[in-house]
Amino acid sequence: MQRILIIDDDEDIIETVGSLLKFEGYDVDFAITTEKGIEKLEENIPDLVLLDIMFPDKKTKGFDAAAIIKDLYADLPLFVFTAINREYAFDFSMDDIKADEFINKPVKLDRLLELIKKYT
Amino acid sequence: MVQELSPIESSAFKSLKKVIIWFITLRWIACIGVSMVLILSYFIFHFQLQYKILSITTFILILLNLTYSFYFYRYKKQYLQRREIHQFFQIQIFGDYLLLLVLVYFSGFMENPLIYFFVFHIIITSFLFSSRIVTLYTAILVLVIGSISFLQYFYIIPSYPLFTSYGIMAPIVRLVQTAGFSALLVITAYLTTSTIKKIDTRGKQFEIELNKYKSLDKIKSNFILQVTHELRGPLAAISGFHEMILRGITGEIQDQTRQIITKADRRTDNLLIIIGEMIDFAYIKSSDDITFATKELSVRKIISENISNITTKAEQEEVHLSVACPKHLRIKTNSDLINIILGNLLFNAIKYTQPGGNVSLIASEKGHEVHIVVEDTGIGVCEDEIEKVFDEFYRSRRAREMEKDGTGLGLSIVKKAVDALHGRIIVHSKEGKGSSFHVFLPAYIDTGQIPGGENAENTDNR
Repeated sequence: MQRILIIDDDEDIIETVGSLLKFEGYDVDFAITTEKGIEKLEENIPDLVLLDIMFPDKKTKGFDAAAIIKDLYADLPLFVFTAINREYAFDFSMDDIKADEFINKPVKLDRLLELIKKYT
Repeated sequence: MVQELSPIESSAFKSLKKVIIWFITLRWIACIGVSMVLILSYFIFHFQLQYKILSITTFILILLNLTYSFYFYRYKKQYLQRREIHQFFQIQIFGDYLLLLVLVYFSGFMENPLIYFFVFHIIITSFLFSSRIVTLYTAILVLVIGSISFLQYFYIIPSYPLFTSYGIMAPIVRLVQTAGFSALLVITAYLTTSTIKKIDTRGKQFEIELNKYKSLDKIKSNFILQVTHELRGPLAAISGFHEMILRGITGEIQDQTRQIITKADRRTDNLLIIIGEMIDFAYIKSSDDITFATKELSVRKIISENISNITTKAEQEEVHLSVACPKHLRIKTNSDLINIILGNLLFNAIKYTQPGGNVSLIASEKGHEVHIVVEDTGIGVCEDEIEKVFDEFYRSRRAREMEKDGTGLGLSIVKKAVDALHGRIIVHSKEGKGSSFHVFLPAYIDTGQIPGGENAENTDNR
């Protein structure tokens, strides 16, 4: 069974996306901070990571985490999961973020499954 | 408290190297001038002057300037430190004061018009050094000139008059001249330093304003992030819960429940769109005078990203989507603005097209422009309303009938984004048949801003 790690501070997002993916037959793990997420990732490498951008302690913390994760595991599929897809909201270019896909929150399950299948 | 800084300590530092070159050049001109005057007055006018001393002084000036030039051009042109430049200027100015004083003293002193060159000296000093140093220089100068005058008046030290015709009046006239000249020096010092202080204060105020403006921009983007986080976050969760129910995770659902949840989900999606439009609108509105950072992008890639964002909606609405774009088409532009344009046009086209209809996006190259057409077979706009579609908050009658939710901001945002990119937008529409929006964007915009210039700095901090 393929395992997906969701890193998001919003527990409702983890619950909804997590249970939808579980329902579709994926094994789902989660973390509510990027630190915990990277810890879990190092313990047991998942098949795919879904990473939120905005965290309460830093609004662009997900970008920092994306860089760390891609440095550690360049081949691990990483989806950045963001409520905003405009560069003007951030200080830097989205091109600099090493993510495989940018997904706009909220995403419909069909679309998410389609993308996951593309990478796993 | 505003700290008083001379140019050597402040940001005007860079231009100081030019000032050094300027100093050295002027001094060469002075050397030639003085030598010429000496030669002329000795051979042609037969003035009675202290030629020996004057020649030696001129020779020293030439030697000094040679040393300065050598020091500056050979060794230090590239590597001069702030402190070194400071000292270099001090030495030059002190040397010039001294030599000018000697030259003038032995050639008529107050009678010699060259003495007025001290005024230039004071002006130059006040441009280079803090007002304390200027005051010091001026005080010493006035003191020295005054002392010489007095000592000459009482015949304690010899005077070397240029013209002997003053006769008996000469000494008192010279004292009066000295007083007047001292006043001139003091006034010059006062005027120049106070003017420079004023200019500096203005400059500092301007810098403070500029920083405020920059931090305001920062606050704005933080605000956008905050609003997005607080508004879109919960809605994303709500949308997820709807989907959990609709997918049957919570158990079998009745048809009526399904219908209600579907409606709730639709309104939630609309709300998400509206928030997005409002944020874009606020951004574009507040960016009227800002140059947008540009970068080179593949048109095909931008289009495919926008299409993939909208595919789910098109499937839901049962609208057929088709796209055509040459593979190599590239555009240098602002990525947010072009995404705003394409996203809104595609979204509108799908939203106002009935199930079974078609929406197409075709991009092509037309000279120095990229031509993008978004065409639909939707409800269209009637003729008397077509002019108003780009107005803020305007929604056509048919649009209001078809969909309750909407800000009427979408197309006005598109228009503003097109304008910001120096492009044009044209709309053709027939009520009940469909609409087509033609966007022409310059393929290459150079805002003068280096793409990623500021950005690169920030990504380093990751």
